Amino acid sequence: MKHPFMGLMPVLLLAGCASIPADHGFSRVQHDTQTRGAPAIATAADAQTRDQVDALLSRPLSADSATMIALLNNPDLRITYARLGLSGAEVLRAGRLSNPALSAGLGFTGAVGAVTRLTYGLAQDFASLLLLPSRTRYAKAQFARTQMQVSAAVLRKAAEVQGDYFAYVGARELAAMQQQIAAALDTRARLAQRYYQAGNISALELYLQQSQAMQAQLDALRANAAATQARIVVNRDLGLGADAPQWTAPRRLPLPVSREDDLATLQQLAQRRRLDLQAADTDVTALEHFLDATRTYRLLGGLTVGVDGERGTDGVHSFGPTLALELPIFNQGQSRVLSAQSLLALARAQRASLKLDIANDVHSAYARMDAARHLADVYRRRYLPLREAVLNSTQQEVNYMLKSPFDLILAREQEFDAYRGDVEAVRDYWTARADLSRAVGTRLPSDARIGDRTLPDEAPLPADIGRLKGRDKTDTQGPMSPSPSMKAMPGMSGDDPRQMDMQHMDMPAAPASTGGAR
Amino acid sequence: MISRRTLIGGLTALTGAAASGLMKTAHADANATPASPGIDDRGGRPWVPVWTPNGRTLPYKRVGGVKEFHLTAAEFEHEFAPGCKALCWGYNGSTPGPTIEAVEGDRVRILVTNHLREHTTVHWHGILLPNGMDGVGGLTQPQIKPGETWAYEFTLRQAGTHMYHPHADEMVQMAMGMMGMFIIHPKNGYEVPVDRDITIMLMNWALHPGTRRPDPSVMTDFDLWTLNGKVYPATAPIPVGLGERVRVRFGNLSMWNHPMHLHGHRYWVTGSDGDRWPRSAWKPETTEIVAVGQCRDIEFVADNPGDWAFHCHMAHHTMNAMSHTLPNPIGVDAGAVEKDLNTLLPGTMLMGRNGMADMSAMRGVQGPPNTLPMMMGKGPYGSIEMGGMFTVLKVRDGLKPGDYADPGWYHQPPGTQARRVAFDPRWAVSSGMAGTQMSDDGGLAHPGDAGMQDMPGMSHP
Repeated sequence: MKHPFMGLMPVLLLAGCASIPADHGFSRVQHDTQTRGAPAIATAADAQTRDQVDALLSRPLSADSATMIALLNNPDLRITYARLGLSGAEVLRAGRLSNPALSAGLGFTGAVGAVTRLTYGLAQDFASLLLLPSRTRYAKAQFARTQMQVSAAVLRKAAEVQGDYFAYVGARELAAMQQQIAAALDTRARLAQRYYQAGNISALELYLQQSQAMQAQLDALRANAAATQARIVVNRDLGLGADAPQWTAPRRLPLPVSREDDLATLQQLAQRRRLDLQAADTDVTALEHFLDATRTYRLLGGLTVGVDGERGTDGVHSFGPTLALELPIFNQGQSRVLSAQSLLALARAQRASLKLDIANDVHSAYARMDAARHLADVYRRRYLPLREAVLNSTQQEVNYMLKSPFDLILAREQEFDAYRGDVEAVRDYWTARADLSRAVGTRLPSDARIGDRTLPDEAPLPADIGRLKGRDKTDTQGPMSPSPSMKAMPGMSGDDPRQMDMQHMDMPAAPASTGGAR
Repeated sequence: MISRRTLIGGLTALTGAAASGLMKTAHADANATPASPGIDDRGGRPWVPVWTPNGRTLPYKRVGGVKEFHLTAAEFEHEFAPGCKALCWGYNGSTPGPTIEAVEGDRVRILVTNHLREHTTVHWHGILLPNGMDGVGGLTQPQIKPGETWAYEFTLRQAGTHMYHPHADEMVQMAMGMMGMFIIHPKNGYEVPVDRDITIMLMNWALHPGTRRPDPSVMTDFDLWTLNGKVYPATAPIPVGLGERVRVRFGNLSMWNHPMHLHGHRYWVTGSDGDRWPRSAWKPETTEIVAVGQCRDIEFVADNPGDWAFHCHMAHHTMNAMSHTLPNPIGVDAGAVEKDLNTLLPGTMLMGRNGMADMSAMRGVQGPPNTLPMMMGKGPYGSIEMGGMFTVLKVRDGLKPGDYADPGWYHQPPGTQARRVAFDPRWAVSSGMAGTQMSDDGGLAHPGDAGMQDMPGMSHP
């Protein structure tokens, strides 16, 4: 006998063929992140990845190489990647038909000559079959959404790593400046000691000088500690532990780029490229379809179609189809529809909120970057030349014994202090910029101009003049610890990317005589 | 027969010509030879005209029987020495203003034009005149407003060394440089005539380093001290002939007393702004204090040839601007700190460990703009290390009368100059000469020790 359900089998089998890519959708993540400027991701710590990471660690870190290492090496992201698998499982589950149910029964009578009653049946839930396409589509949309969210998480992580990197290099440079300041005041205090030994200043005057020097030493110690902490944060970002190779970083941050992106352009870029926004869009679209399907099939509760057969106790076979249909009398699926509607409304509201967040996020990061950039500009072009002029004028007066070497050292220390402000401004610029990149959701177009403002090496910062000869190796232990005598100057690398814009102050114009009768 | 009128007219014409000649040379260089000895038109007695080093005499014109002078008060640029100029206030473009020279009995009219931006007056210091001519603003006259010209007119009935200066906003106007000398010759001449008559105004300035304008609110901490508005080495040397009788008249409108000291000679103080002293009141000095507001005449015969320092004996007054708040560098051994200092500030040197003589020897260091080094001046034997109220009296044989040109440096004849006896710092000890001989009480000198213990033929006390 031809079993009718045999004809259904191919349909059933084909209908159950929802699948996910073999790599759990990872290639899409790679594509999405790399088109937004992120480097390649590794999902497992294999030998090839290890070699890549080691090669990158052997050179001084840059923001880009730090990001590369993090995306290859940091296990945190693998937590995120696992979500892909979980979501994939959902897809698989959603795409599969529920299995048919086979029933069989035996009935024993006590009567003589009676045959054991046999009942059998095969039932298949058809409601799920009808709903299968929409459920599959929904699950696939959710999968795509998960892929986007994972990509967004990767990009956020990359921006975070960059921000931490800039914070570290900045902290280290600040610590070096504090050391310069402390060393200058220490020299001053030791000179005062000599004056005191000669009997030329009072003990009070000496203590005052030594107190100032000690205060600066305390500030330097604090700055060193902060730099150490910042280094550990980067270390963690790179996925390195306590036994990891000691990596190095440049001594200075580069100059701000020559020309920034336009804010309006970045806003548009953010709305187009932010992956979490695209995920929200996907979510809304999927829920719209889901709502449609729920509405369409709201009266459909359960529908089971099957076949049933029986061999009675009299040996008579009977066979026939079965149908079980849920009647929508007490409930027409309102709760399901309401649920779907609410989910859609929620998703829409979340998307609107996210759009606002993105726009203001971009604006906020841009404003911070712009403010820091302007600060750094004013420091470099106006304030630092002024402090240099103070130093030069003080030197002139010292030459004529109108001011003392103490005044001169103080002028120098104040110059260093001004440099500290500049370093802070540049660090704030780069950390804000990393944040901006995160807010826009893609690498900034102006990143192409990083490093286009370079400065001649022969124009050292005045701070460089303080370095001792032969101590310009790049740092390998992190921030220098201040030596007890405070005589050690931190080694400065010879390649200085920054120059002071030394505008010479105009001398006052020669006085115009009001003239008398001659 | 030339009538007296014609004679007077002729002499007047001559004087007028000489006066106009003087007018032309009024702004000539200070060290130029002044006009030939003036001829007084009262009886023809010759006075040696007063010479104002670095300055000039104010010309006059005859109007009726009156000598009419013209002073213009204005702001102008004054040079204290090459490398230091400032906006000062003065008369006729100079500080001090031109010297007014007249004779006892003259009727003088002095026109004063005010080109300052505030009112002014002129007071005639020490001169006996009607109250209304005294020039005290608010008290004897309304002030001369900017732009106005006023006339002071009075008959001179005394002889001596006097001054003129404002008496309106007096502290400021004087601090900015407004002053000048007023010399009155006696109508009957000097019983002891001099061959050279020189006038010097003493003044102080708060010209802070790096600035271009004197600060009039400073009362005690001045930067520059001047003779006739100049600091050494821009002070003109005073050449006098060997054997000449010289008079130097000081006026002091600074805010400090100045003990004026002359080397190589003893002089007599012969007058003040109370006029010439009788001979019985003359006193011998080599250092005479000219107090604030005073004048002093000194006279001497220049009988000692050579280049003689002539200066205020307040040591800070022969220095240019210096700090009075510097931590004392003397005796400070900076040791290794100096190296660190050089690392911190390349090219910095610590100065003053052994004294400040190195200051004047330093070449090529740059000071603040418009500021003079503390000590300056180079003589034939090295740096002179002076500034401020310092000049040189140059006594030379064979100088012509009235020749005030710098005759150059004096060449001390052989045998009349201090000579070196030894290079070795241990020389005095090894030769047994006292002074460095260490005795049991730690080297203290005792009276009677001086140089005699180990001289041959001398027994111990």
